[in-house]
Amino acid sequence: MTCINTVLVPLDGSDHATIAMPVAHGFAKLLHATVAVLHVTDDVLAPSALIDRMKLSGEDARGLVIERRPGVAADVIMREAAERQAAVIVMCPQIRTDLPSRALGSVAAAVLRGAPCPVVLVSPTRGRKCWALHRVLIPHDGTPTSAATMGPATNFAILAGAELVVLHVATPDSKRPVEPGTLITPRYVDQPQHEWPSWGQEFLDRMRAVGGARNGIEARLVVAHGDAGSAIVDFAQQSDLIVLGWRGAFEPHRALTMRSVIRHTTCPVMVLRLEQDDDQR
Amino acid sequence: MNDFSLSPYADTEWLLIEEGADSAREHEIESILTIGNGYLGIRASIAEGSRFSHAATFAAGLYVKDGALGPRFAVLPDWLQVEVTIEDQRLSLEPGRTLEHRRLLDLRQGILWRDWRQQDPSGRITGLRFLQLASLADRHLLVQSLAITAENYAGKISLATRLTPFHLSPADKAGADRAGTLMRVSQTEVAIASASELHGPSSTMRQGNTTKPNGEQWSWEVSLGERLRLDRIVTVFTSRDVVRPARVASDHLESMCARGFSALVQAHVDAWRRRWEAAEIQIVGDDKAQRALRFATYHLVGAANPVDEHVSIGARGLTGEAYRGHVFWDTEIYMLPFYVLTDPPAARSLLMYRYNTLEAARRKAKAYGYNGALYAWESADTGDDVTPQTSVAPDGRLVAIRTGEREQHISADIAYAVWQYWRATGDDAFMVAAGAEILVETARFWASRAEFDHDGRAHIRQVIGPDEYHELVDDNAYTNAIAKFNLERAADTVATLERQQNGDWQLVSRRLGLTKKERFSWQGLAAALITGFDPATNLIEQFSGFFQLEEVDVAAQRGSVIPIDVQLGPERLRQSKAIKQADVVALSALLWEQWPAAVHEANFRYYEPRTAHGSSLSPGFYALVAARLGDLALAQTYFRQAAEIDLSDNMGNASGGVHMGALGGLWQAAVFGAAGLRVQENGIALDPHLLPGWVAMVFPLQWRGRLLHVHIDAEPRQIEIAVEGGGNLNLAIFEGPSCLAHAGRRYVSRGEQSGWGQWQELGQ
Repeated sequence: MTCINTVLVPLDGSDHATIAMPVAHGFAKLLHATVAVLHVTDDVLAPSALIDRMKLSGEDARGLVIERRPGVAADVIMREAAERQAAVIVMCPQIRTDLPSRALGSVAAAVLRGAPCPVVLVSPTRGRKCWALHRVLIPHDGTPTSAATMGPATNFAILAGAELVVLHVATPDSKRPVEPGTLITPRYVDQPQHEWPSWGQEFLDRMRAVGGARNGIEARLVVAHGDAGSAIVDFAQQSDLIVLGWRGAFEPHRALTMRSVIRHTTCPVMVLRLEQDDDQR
Repeated sequence: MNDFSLSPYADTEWLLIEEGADSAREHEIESILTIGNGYLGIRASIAEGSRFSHAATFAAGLYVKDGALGPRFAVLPDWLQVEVTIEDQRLSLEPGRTLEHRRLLDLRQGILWRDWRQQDPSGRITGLRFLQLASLADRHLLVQSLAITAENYAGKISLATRLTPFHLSPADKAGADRAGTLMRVSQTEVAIASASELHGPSSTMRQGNTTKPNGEQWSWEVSLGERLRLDRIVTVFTSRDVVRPARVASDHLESMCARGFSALVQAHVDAWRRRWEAAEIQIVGDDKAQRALRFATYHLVGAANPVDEHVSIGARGLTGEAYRGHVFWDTEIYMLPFYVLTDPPAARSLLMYRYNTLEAARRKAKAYGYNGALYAWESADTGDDVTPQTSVAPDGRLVAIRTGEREQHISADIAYAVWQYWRATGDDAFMVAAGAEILVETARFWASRAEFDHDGRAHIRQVIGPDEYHELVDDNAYTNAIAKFNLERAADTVATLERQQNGDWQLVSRRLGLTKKERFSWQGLAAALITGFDPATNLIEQFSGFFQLEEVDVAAQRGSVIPIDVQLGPERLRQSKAIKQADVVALSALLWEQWPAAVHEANFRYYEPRTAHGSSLSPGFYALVAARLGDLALAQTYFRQAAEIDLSDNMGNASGGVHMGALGGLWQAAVFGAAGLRVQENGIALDPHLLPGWVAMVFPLQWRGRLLHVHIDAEPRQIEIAVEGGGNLNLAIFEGPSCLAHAGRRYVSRGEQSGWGQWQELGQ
């Protein structure tokens, strides 16, 4: 079974899971895709009972592909995404604030690790208001590995005609990344009126080149300093999508920025798995 | 194939090698490996082009208007482009497999080499070697050569060359013919003419088999292992140089082709050899320092044009578009000493640029209500101030840029450079025709700028010094001291020229309306200017009120990923003692003789921990002063920091061009710091403090027509100087023994306990 343009939405039957729906519809419009909602249960349910279980109304269900699959939730979601060649998975996960080392429930965390496509996490606090993409925010640490977010983010921005904002957060006391080709804030600012525009252009050019970003849209670079997670959450207040690169680690001392963003933002977060797993944060 | 067989210089210590192809670092590699001759600068982009490349050829003095940010360097057509097609597949780094890719900047010969072996998707392996140069023997001449070998196949190789004008609208193209193209950049016509020859194993094709505007195409059936070579000769002229650039470029191309490719390359290599003979610093025992100084010297040589008095050197030279080609104080204070002592005609031309823009400096002074000449903080082709008035900060805030209005020490910096040039060269003709007028007009500016208080002291208020973290300060020590120097030297010079009763000077003096009263007033003002010096502590206060500011731990933040000005924010920064770069310490570098060593020591120890080195100009001067003070470990730390500004592999600093001022500062740290050279009225003095690990330091320099070869050994301590040409001069150890030296002789002084012995003549 294949469906080239599918936006896959796992609905676990909780009230908050359907909060993902407006964002999923927004992506479907952007990608000319169909929204497929998926409920994982071993129970055999009649169609109306399935819709009820998913907490969808009859009106909500119009135009959707609705599927029930038995099995282990995370495994089924990933398998379904792979079989449908889903362009994106949109889900409203359980956000954990009780455990410092975990930001997501176990299903969402497992999907993030193994999904064959980008995953968009929609915060339960976002509510059910309509969603459209006007501004994409790409937090970027200046490493070539993180540049992998530039290509997909640029594609979405081009599709939506959205503004593309790249946010580089310089964090005091953080280590200089050692990855070759990394560009961080300049050590020498001889004349700020020249150095910053020049450095900013180089930052964007470099990350777009390494990330394989298409031409066709101008990006704007903003530099903030302080805690990266807080800065991203702050800037995301005026954004419709955060595109975050993730190196695949969720151990207690790693992915601190991502955890902080997931916990505190109401802006949908698209998580893209990066190739390299050497996150120092 | 003819006998052209040049290779990279055999001693690999002279080669700057970039292995592989790294899209992340491509822009900085292109800057670092730029070739230039002071007229043209060509970034080291790859000939077949790539989406991550930033190809650019710049011509000194050629700018285009560009809105509120002021003029920027014009980017000329990419003359390097060569498209290689094997059968029907275009060769590039992306499809297929790159077996070998290496760019080598041959510092000794001024040539960029590129070796590349590519296996295309069909499995064919092609080997390529590129050569490109901007001739130092003929600054209007560019040369490119490409040798291409079919390593494991037979088939059709096609080559296409083209001149691709970009950043130019079609309307800017004023015409084109087979040989090249003519275009208009602002009001300037630029003509580029090109001719190529393709050499096969048995014959030569003198023209492409398909001709088209702005380029040629070639096709050749090659046998297995066969090698082809394409040689290109390109000439460039603008209407800044000649009346009819298209005609001249075409004629010049013809005469260059008649001389032959090998001869043109050889002339260029010879020109570089001569330039190295006049400028090479040899450091025995420290390969890193040696490499950094060669790199600095290479780019300084490639940035200057001794025959064009209407251009100067921008902050990034001809290596990149950052800083838009604008000219700052960097040129006179950080770069000029290199030219004064190794290529005086180039130094003269740079100062003549300031003379030729003196009228703009007069206009600026008048616009602000002052007399005399206030030079542009940022200058381009006309000399009018092109400093942007606002800029967008990295956090998106719009901030006012006040340097154009308030960083006025540049006028005195230029006067300082005029004086240094005159003292080192004795070029009276320059001083009479141009230099003295600069001194006079800048002195007149300070005379109108300074204000006398009731106590009879003079103040210069509301300025920005080199420490640009503190704006609109009163009595900045650097500004006041360098203005004082300006006033005193202007008075001295006028007095000297009047004593000489030089007829030409009398005409100039009359035109300028100079009077004795005015000259005396400069001396009075110089004596009255606040210096900030406190004899009780030996400290010079950087500006009025500096000592009352908040202490911040600058040293602890030097390794931070955030510049301190961003971290503290503008308001806290203003209230703090964190300083951007050498300010009082710059006075120790420039005006050492004005204070005793104890004053330099006290101020260096006070300001060094408070300096953030937020400017690339700073580490070189700190290395210089630390060396003079004998703190060799610290001098070495700063020397290495200065050396790494462009050469560090992972900083991204150089993507917009190399830091010309920092390169000049590094050269000064070696010559004025480690060797301790002082240029004096009757000769030179040395005060060696070789850095740790330096076994010996050898360098040439010129003083008033004499060529001196200086050789300093660390252990046993010894200075040997050979003198060539000209008359006698005084050789001295700074504050030590001296001797009268004669041309054609060698002299030596040996270390004795903590001092130096008398000079001895060694004969021929």
